Amino acid sequence: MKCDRVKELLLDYLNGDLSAPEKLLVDEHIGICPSCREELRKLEKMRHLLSSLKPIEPPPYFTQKVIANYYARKERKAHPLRVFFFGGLKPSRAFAYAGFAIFLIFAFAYLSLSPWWGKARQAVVPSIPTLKRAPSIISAKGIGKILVLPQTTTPDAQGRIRIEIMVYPPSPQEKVWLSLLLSQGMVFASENPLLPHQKDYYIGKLSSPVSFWTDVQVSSQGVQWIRVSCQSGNHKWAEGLLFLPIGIKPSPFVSLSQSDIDAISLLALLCERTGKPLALSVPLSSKLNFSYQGDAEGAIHHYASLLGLTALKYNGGFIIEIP
Amino acid sequence: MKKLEKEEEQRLIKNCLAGERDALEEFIRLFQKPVFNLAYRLCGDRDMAEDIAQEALLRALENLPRFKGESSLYTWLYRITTNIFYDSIRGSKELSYDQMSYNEDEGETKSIELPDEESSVEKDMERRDIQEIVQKEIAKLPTHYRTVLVLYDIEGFSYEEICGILQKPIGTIKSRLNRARKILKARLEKYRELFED
Repeated sequence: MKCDRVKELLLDYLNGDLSAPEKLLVDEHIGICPSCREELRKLEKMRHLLSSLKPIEPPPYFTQKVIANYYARKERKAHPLRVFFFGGLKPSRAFAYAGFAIFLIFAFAYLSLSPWWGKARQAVVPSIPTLKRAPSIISAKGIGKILVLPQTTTPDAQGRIRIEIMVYPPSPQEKVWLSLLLSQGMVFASENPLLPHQKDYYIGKLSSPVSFWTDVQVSSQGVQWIRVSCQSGNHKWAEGLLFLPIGIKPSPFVSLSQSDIDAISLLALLCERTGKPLALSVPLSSKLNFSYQGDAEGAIHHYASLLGLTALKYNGGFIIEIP
Repeated sequence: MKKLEKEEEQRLIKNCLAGERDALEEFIRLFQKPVFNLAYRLCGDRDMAEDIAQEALLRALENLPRFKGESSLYTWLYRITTNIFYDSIRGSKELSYDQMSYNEDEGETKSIELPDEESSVEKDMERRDIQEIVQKEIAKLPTHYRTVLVLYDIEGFSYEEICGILQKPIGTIKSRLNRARKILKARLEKYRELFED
């Protein structure tokens, strides 16, 4: 048997796929041919190298991520989370057109209502939009933007509020995770038994604005909050925080003046920026009076000024006048 | 790889379908490592492997009501993982599936040009360990060859099981495996130390 033919058969020989006569011929040949013997040795060595590749461990928290996503997807099927979306995930054309129309309406309302919009595009800290519907805030961190706002102004009969989240990526982002975190007084209406206050959605590639909604169940009075962030890998590129003053006034949202809304949003922003808990003092209207803990004074002045506002120190707290 | 007994498999499926959280967690914990490893061997990138593995496990859980038990859960999951991997690389510059099939049908042995990397070989040996070198070279194999090699030589599946995973005839599997090994051996021979006893 010639070497070329033997070399062709060596792989089958190794796999034990040769017939008895063929195997005998190969055995005889490699007994006398050093070249084919060497070839067989290398193939065996390679097979050994492959079978000895060490298994690698999945990344940390992989199980939790899969479970969280499993519940998230299940919920999305039962109550579609995505309201409108354009680009990236390839929605149907009609759906995209409808989404785009809704977006234009939102965008127009937003631009026409926000006096700081022009400034915000250059500012380090994007401004707080003055949407009339309810408190809202645009991401104060990162380069992208998140707008969080309740779609309803009062909890429904079941004590639920629908929260809308609009995400504006600064540029196409890969492997995007959207994380929602609720304060202790609220849980997600379709609750994940593992994490009633937390939801992580894997969005994947995100190249254009996207809007989501989710229902939350309000269980206690006081100032509640929802924090929303977007990140790709370890890079958090946008974060937003919405404060909901549940039960502070008889009708928690509608009776708030625009100034109050701005004040609460500002407070949220200051909490966010200073990293210090700030205690809100009532009554709200035109002037926001709050006390602070720690040495956040400089930061408060700084961020107030970025928003075109002045913070005045007064009796251990600050008064920020909303123009 | 630990194989599940049929009864154990059926119990797990039943409990997952009943929506038991412990069962879902058991399912994920049981399969995450093999699925993640298969994904990693196929794509050669940990981040991408994580995405593929996660998608595979989610799709498996979602499609569990349709699992008929004709193959083992492992085989079924590996099929899902492989399909997601193919989807993820669709549109890349590799040989398309049709081209590959055509060449196989013709039965011709197409030689695949090896890039000239001699100069970097020694440096590679210095800074990488053997495992990394082998993985790197596996990742360079044409996709369909790589898949069969990973399933047979690394994951230890039989021809019949691979036929079930890839839904291809045994002749195709054998021919792909042989070609994969030839190409890989040619590539690995540049690293002489690998073949020293």
